Amino acid sequence: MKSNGTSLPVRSRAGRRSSMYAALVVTALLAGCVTQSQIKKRADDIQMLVSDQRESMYNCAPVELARAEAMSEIARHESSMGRSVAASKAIVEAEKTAELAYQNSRDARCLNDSDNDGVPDRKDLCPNQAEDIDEFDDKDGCPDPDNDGDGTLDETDLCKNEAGPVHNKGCPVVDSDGDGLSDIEDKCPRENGPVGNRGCPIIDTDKDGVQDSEDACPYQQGLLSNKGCPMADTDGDSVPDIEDKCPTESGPISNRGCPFGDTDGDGLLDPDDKCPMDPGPPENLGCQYKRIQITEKKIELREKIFFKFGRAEIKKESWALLDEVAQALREHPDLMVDIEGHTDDVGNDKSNMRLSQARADAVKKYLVGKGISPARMRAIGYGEDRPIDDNSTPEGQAVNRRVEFVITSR
Amino acid sequence: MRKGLWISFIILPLILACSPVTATKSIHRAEKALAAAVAAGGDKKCPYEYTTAVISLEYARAREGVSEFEAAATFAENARKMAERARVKAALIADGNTARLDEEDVE
Repeated sequence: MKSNGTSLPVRSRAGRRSSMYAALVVTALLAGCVTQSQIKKRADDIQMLVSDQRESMYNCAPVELARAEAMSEIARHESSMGRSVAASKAIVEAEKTAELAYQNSRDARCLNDSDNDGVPDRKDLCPNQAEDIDEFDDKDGCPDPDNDGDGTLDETDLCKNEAGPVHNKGCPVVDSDGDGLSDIEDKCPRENGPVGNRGCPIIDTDKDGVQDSEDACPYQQGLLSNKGCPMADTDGDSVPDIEDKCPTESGPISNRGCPFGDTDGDGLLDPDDKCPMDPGPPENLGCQYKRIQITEKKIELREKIFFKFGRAEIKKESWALLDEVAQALREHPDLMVDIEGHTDDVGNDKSNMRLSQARADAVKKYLVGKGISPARMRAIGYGEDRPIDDNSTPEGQAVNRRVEFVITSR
Repeated sequence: MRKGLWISFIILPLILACSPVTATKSIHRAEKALAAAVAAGGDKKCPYEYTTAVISLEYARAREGVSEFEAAATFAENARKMAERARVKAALIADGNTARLDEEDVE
């Protein structure tokens, strides 16, 4: 039992010691490995720095460059031999001199680059022409104004590295939708459409003749001039507001959207009223009298007064007309009139004068017979002196044969 | 007997490659090349090549001193090459032939 009790700690101490040794050996080995990998990484870093700046360093800091590279190699060798202390010393020296080389070669002149394009003259095929840095053949030091050689200079070439015709802005002609327009010119490169519509299909949902792409109201019919939208019509009279003189009052198109008025207030709208300024019953088409109309200067006759041929005898058919004249004179007792007789130029002047006077007298006499005071009327024959139409035609002569009632006072 | 001869044929070159003779010879050649470079003005005209040669030669000597003959030979050979390059370039510069002088042009 005792021996067991003492032997255990002895074995334990020896075991502990051997484990410690083992741990030390492993740590040392690991430390060596780590150092070796670190040295390698640091040497690689130096190599990278040097290769980036080699041209400048070679020209302006050759000794430092040589030292950095050589010491880096030595560090690698020392490290590979497991001599980490010597390797560390060498790599520190290499780093110092590499840094020095870098600092001493910052001047642009160190690159010997006449055109300042980053390609040293020694390697520059065009030492006096700067390279255009555009990721195309940039290492030769020569500018490439037309990378793809398609005749369209890069500055205007939309596809610098793909040859294409000038009319296609230097890009290869691609027509994805096969509508005859290249994608570059095609407003809808994925949809087939006519050239006239810039390669887009024509869609006109509301069928108003304005295609959807240009129709501000694609679901409502409208005019092209209104971007395909319906015109506003506030009063709903079918005359759009922009053409409606009275946009808030309903009115026919013929009156430009305005309602017709009834100027004389006789219940007939002006367009239906033959006498829009004088009130009159509808049966007289808005006129006070059927066969006559009193204007400012005359009692206008809507019919002619017919006489027997060459005589001053009033035909029966004109009596109703004269009755209406008599009625008007009665209803307007202040009116004073001249009854003027006129003839055409057929026959001699004197007889025409006589006939016109006789006819005027006949009319006056008729009216007197209807109760009109002769003092209110004066009969005057003017013969053929005052024609109102062409006497060379039968129609003109008929017009010239007339009786007029001219108002002289009211 | 024959077997021993064969073995010596294989082993001898290996021994020679790592022997002090080869290393010493390489160092000697490098020293001569360096002296020639200096004589041609390479130390002034081609400082990069000259400096590399000097450092490599120093290190080769140091390796030889601790009996690392293989490393000594390798670094000495590098020193020789750089010294040679310095000499040739210095000569080209002296001739005014600097138009397209490239460090890689000289071997």
